[in-house]
Amino acid sequence: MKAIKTLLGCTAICAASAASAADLEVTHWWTSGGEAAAVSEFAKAFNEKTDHNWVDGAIAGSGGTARPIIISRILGGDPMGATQLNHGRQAEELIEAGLLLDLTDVAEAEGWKDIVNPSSLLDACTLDGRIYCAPVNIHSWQWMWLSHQAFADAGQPVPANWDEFVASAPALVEAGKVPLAMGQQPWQSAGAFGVMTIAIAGIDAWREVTVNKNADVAAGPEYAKVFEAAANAREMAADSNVQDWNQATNLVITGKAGAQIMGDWAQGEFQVAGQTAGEDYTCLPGLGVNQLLDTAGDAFYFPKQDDPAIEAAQKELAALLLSPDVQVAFNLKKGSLPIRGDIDLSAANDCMQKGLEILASGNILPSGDMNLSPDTQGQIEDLMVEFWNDPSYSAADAQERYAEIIADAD
Amino acid sequence: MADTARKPNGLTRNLTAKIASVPMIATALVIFIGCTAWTIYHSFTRSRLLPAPDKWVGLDQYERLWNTRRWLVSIENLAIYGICSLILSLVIGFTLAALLDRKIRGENVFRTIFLYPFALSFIVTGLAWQWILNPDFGIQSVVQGWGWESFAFDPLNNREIAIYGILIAGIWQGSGFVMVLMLAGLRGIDEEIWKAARVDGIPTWKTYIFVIIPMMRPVFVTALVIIASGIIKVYDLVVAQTSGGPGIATEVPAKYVIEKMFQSQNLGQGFAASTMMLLSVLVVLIPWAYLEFGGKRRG
Amino acid sequence: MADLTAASEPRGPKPRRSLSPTNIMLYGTLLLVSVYYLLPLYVMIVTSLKGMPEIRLGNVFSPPVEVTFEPWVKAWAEACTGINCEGLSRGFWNSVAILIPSVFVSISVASVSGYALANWRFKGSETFLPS
Repeated sequence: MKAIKTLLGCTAICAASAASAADLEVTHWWTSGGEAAAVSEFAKAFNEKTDHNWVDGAIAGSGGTARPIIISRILGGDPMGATQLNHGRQAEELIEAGLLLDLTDVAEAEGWKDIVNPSSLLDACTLDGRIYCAPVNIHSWQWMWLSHQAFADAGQPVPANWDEFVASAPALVEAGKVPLAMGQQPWQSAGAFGVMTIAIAGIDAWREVTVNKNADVAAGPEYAKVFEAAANAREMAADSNVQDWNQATNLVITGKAGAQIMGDWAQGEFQVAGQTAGEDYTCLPGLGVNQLLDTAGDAFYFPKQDDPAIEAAQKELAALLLSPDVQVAFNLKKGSLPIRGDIDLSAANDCMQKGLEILASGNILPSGDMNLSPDTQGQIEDLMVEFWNDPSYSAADAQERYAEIIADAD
Repeated sequence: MADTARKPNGLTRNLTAKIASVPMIATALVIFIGCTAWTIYHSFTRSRLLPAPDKWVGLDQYERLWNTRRWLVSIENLAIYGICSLILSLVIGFTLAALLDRKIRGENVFRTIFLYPFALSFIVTGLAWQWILNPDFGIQSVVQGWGWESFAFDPLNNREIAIYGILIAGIWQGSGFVMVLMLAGLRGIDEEIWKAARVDGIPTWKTYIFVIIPMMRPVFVTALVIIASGIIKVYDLVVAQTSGGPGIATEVPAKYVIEKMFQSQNLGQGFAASTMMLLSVLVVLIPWAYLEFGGKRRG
Repeated sequence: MADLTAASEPRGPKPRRSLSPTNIMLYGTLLLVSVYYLLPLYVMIVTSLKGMPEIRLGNVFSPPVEVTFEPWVKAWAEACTGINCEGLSRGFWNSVAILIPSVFVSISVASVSGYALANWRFKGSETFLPS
């Protein structure tokens, strides 16, 4: 029934702006197998349910490659119809410069305020009370993936939390395994550290540092524990000579490594390899310590266009992206969680169900993207990737630098 | 080039030539000088995603730049890579050219083999060498497979020597071009020189070092300028081969500039770094230009 | 090294006998260096003819057990970027489209500037053409 309501909402907008068929170029960087399958759900729905055309403008490479291209096109006066961006502070200046379409009327007509869960996702799209983006999914960093085979080979039970994992690491090493698989890309180092922070320093300290930018806490004893743990994890990951995150995940899949700290997108790799959650691998949200999810994710922004026909098409697409059936189809393929709590995802697997439960219970955090500027995040990534790869970089030195970055953060 | 030009007397002389040079001079002024000035100005501002000419912060960006370990490592890497690649390119390029110039059979085949890497992009170069240097698939595993179990050659995974892994690929890509320049230079050497050297009974290697190389000075200068500009810009090779890793061991300044400007959305910081790069080029270029042209004018 | 005096060879002393030590050294060096230059090409071609499982298991130098041209076809015409599956062919035609005007423009601009520099030596013209 909700589908009908959404359709009605959509028709209201369509009627209001006398829609004619328009070609809408949509840029995104979802190019891997599962991602492309997910985005084609959007394209299919848009082509079938509206008069308009989805013109796919995929940009190969990661977000790091695609984002500059997208931003320079918007700035350079050649805006696309719609574009993927991580919501949060990346688009802040574009909004301030008046380059992005205000979606507030769509959001009101569709009742986004009531359906988007957690509401922080919509807050990240909001600037001065106006809504500028359509969130489409939730990705969370707070997961550890454990290989059953690796622990069986080492004669150890599969750990249920971080401390047990640390305790079983020597046995893994003895069995010729790498305890912790870790890629060498900067965002992986920074992400894993973020996960450990929430699990080890606790929510309050994390919130004080990430949200309030309190450098004293960042230099304090809670964070010292995190840096000690990270230095320890660094030793456990010393033998994992891989670059990309999926290569690291592959070490876990093949049982060469005990575990990996990685976001829920790793799930897709296990699925492709034909493994079953609970039998071949285990997922631990919040390292099994604090069962929490941070709620980063992807969102679509709509650069301002002169043509009213295109603007109408943009608004229709925005409404469509959040409609229930599109949300289900997209998120099942993508392996991410839907942004509305009112839809049925019984087709989801074990790990996704765990995530949905945590989401429903409200144990959620805003993601780093939403609190720290890309500049600060870049500095943290630089620090972390050096720290994780240089055994001579002491925990105390790294913490000192970390506190400096937080003190300078805006 | 011999100085055959006539002295310009008045505006009307060589009018066509002057008109013809207008596009070049305009391009040089507007694009090089104009954009450089714009960049330098904005490096003193707190520009984020968009240029913000009114947010003046003085030297803050530079202070932060020189307090960043990643930048310092980048500079150090560029110095190591630059010096090694300059020397090795010239030595390898000249040696190969000298070998090819000894009337060998199949010169064309060898020349093609040495030059083809230059036709490949740095991305392809980086990826191919990444595979070859990969300890699990490449040289290390092959040699270990032959029975030498303790053999270790994994420059890309060892922080201390990772930059030399990049160097291997860089030399592979660029030295062929230097070889061709040198070969052209050697072909331009007058045969009489060789005859005279033979008559005097000077050994071949001595002839090369004390006679031929000094005569090829212009070729060396050209090669030097081309290699040096390639070194300063090295970026895609690093991105394809190591993405700056392990850790920050193979970071280079150009990568810092691009990432700060676009990924971190901090234009001011990126501009400050690129201004420092420009400055370092000038530090090398000005004394050289002074020697080169200052000397000519006196002579 | 000492037998250079005889003939009036044009340039570079020509080694006399085909199996002299100098000659062996010369060709030996060239062949050895050629290995370094050809290695990556060999790796690229050999790897492109292997299937994915073979790549994952073996080392990069082993010749393909089962030669397959599948990856070539895929790269040229089938590889997907997002939901467009046209492979490299599209990028290749883009390159051609960029190449033609850029060659034309740069040659015409360069020839005009070259004419200017050749005929008119002004103070600082070396700045534009350092040689």
